[in-house]
Amino acid sequence: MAAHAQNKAVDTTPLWKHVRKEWKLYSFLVIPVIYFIIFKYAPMLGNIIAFRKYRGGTNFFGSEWVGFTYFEMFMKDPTFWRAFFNDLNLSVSYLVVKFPITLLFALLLNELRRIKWKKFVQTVSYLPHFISMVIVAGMIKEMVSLTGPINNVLASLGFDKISFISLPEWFPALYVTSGIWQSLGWGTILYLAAMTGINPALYEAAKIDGANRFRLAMHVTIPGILPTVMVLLILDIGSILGSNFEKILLLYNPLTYETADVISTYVYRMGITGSNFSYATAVGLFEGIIGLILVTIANEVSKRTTKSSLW
Amino acid sequence: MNRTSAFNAFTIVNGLFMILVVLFTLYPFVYLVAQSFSSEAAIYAGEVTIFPVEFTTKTYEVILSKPDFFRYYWNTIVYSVAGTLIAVTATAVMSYPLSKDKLRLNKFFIPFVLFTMYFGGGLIPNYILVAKTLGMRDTIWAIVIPGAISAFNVILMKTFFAGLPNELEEAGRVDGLGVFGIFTKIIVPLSKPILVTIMLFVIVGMWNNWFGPSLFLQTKEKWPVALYLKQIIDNAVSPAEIGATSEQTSQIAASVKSTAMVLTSLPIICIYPFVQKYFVQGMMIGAVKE
Amino acid sequence: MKKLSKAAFMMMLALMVVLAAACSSSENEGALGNKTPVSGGAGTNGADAAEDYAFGEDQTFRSGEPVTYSMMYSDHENYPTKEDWRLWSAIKEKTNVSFDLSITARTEYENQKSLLVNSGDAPYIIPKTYDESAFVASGQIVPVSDWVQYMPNYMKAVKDWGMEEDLKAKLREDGKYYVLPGMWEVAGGGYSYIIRKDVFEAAGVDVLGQEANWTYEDFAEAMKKIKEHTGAKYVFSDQFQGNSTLSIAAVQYGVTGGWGISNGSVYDHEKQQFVFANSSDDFKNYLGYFNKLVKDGIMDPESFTQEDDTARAKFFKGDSFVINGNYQQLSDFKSKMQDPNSELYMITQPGGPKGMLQIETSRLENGIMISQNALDDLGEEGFIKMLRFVDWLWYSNEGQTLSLWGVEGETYDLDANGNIALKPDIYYNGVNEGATKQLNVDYGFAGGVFAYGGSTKLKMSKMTEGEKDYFNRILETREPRKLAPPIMATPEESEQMNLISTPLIDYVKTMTLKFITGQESLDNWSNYTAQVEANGSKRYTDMANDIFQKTKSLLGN
Repeated sequence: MAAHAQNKAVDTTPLWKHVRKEWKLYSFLVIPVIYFIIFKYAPMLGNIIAFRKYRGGTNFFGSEWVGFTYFEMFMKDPTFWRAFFNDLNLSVSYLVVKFPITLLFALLLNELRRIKWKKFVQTVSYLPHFISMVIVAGMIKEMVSLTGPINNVLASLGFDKISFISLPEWFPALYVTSGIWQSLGWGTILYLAAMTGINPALYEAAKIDGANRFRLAMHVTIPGILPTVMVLLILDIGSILGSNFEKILLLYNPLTYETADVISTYVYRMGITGSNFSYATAVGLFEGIIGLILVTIANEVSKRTTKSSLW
Repeated sequence: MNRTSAFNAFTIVNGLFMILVVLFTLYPFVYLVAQSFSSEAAIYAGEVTIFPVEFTTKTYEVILSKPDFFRYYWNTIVYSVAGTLIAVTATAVMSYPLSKDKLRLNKFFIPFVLFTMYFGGGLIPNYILVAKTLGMRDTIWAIVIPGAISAFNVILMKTFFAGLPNELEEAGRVDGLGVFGIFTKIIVPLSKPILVTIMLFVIVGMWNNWFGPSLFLQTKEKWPVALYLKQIIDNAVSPAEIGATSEQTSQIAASVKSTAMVLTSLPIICIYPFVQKYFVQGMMIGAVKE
Repeated sequence: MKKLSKAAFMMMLALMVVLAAACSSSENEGALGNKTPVSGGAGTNGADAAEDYAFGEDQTFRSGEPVTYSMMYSDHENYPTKEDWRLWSAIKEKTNVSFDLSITARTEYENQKSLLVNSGDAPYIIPKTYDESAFVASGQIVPVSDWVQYMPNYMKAVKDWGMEEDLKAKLREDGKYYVLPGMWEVAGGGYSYIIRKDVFEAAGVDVLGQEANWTYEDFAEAMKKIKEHTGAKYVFSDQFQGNSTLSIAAVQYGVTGGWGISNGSVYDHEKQQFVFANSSDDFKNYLGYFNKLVKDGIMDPESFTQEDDTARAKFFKGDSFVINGNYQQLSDFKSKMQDPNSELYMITQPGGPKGMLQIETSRLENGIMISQNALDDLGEEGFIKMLRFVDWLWYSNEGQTLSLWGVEGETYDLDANGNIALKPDIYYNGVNEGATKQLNVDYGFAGGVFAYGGSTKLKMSKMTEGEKDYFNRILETREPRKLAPPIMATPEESEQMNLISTPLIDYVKTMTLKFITGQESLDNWSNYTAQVEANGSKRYTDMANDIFQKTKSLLGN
């Protein structure tokens, strides 16, 4: 969400003079930039081991070139494709449910008139965002366990109990529902912020035209927050291959791999547990590049349609 | 503006919806607490719903009777403090020059930072770098350094700095302050909200961090509480290790997980009402611009 | 702005390339002066008289100077490591050696080992290794078979107990092996089913009369009687997510499963080739058997997902009457049964279509890998010295007795016949029930990292009467089975096979449970076999057979 600064007057002094003049400010950047090179850019380069065979202890970049061998391997690997489509399926399902619900919740919160009540609802609904994924996963397991409350309700209604955690067909539902639980409140913050930024004169004008609350929401609020909506949508689409790794790792088990195993968990199993460093890196790199491409496309689309963009 | 006191249908439906949201959000916590105070028999029989059944504090007594839990707690505190100091300082130092439009090289540095939001090294290269190349394995540095500066936090803080009135800096300059003096004496004191926000981001992140520690921290004594909790949930901690005698073993088996979860989330839930406004402010500063 | 950021992007790319060049060149320089491969066991040093330490067959290893060796240590939650364990001081007193331990929680051990070895930071001694194959390709593990000639006690055990054939299972494509396995003079009893003998007898099952030659089908019939007799919801509710049961039953059906699933293939001794067993008709029968147990309400379908504690709780409460376990667990369980009249009994494992086979045929246990770092850091002489220490602690009778029973006069006494008797105030493995101290928890002895090998006498010394009986029943009524030859793959081949088998076995595991619990009908069997083949089962066995043909001369038969 970088600002597009307008260069009012083009600075024409030579660059070295500029740097010399501002060296004190630039010196602030030295250590952080080195930090970025080491901790953010060096690992990107480390992806080279996807094209080289990594042998323990030799060096950071592996020992010999193998070209696209590992890429060809995973392209032929049905488990990789299963993980790929699971990833898509989980993120798209989550996005499709989360996006409208969050927007709706924000609009409804905006309609609450009693400030204390509104604050209370907000405070409560933000809470899950702060809870560790370990606890979230533990909670889910407790909630859906055979002796847990959900199965108790099922049983009292005369249904059979369901072993949710070991049935692949239930995994996406668990994933999406718990995701909503975690992010419902938090996701509204930016919308609410955007709503406060809408010029009150617009509301006044619409009211004079006789608009009711519903119309105000449709014709003033929603257009007012549309840029925010678009930017958030772009962010989400960019991460469409980035299902929540930690949550899945904590929740899945061999019984549910069929629907739950995603690319990142597959990389984890192949790389960390299975000792195939180079193979896992190749898969991870593929995922990263697809993500980058998706976000670029989404950004372009957004730039053309709503004039707002990430960069 | 719309001060109609009459309850119309919408207000009622909306109110009900909000109550539903509140219940949906809070119920899992209520259930965990109830379970942690219930007897083993009641839990296995599925009798616990909202209130504890056959109230007992035995599981708490057992867990709190051994110093282990506190040790992992303490580790988390250490990581949080160290991580916060490093992260906040580094982020502020980096963001300040980036917030200055007059620095021409920023048009290189800003994309340089932004790019890392969309592309990264991936699990294995990061692991090799941190654990092997930098030799941080099994040290606190592997936990507090690699995530110290995030592009998101930098953009957040840069936006905040850019929003500060220029006149104050000018005044500082007139008073003879140098760049560093302006930064420490004027900018930093003015930026408390954003500094606190970043600090809280880091603390909450550290408190909840288990994956990094599971890769980098081999020695159990160094684990943060979140990782220890994960082991309890995975049944990888024996009742004896938690502190149960053999008679207590079966009594606490059913509620040990919920108890550990309650104990671990307690600090966050306690400080949460006071810190959430900073989070919200921070998010807004980062997102809403001219 | 737009153009500029493109320029910036290009600059970043350039920066990355420069950085890459810089890093890789410096790393290469570092690698040049590095390790020249040591020609394994030149043999000259062995005769060197200038050693500063004592060693030898049946002689206590003792270093002149105090030395420290780094070692990975798998910390078991049931007996968490303590620095003041007598174990450490006893080793130090005898040998002048101490350990620099990398202590890792048992549950994280495999991951950490994989990470440490692959990144080249492994400690010298890497114990508790069940499968070394993934590490051979890393070049970080010493081919220890080149060096065993320097280990007198190890060589003696190999010779006296005739371990040569057993060790062949560990050979890799270069004709070497990379792990020092734990060795027992005789194979153990292993896991079986712990049953409520009182209930079985009350239901009219003559356990003792039948078990000698009963099959899984007979066992199912017996369990059916229990169900009729007790009216219980389930007779059998398993722990270990069914992994142990699936593993031991697989042997009798000629397939692989559970903990022992490995790569899903078995060796056909008649045709002399590997076949993928887990899509065969044998496998279908095996699945069908368990599916029927679940369908008939004999086996609890939660067996495959529930936690061990839950399964045990059901057994203790009397909700179930059969549970898989080993003898040590049987001893533990006795005190926890709610019904004071319950009588626990470990049955001889039932037989199956492939005969009445012994489950445990391997006399090899998990073992120790030695890191290349040890050779690089210590030099050849120091390395041999370390191996001789390992040799004493893990392979001499003295070392093995120390690891298992501790120090004579402190934790155990010897009777007139030289039999070991634990001090009465120390509990271990069903001995001295109710004693205040525990051999493993309070002293560190009898832990899984050190105590897992030795003579028949040593093995029997830790058995209670009941366990000896179980052990003898197996030896008397079950036939040993032939071992499969090793697949001696090159690192590249292993890597490729590993890449095929990881997802393939994932799939087999998932489907195994689905077929058993009835989520998938056995009517869809042909879909399953097709999918297994699509996942590379044939590619896998073809590779295995090619490699086997290519390398079988190395096996020397």
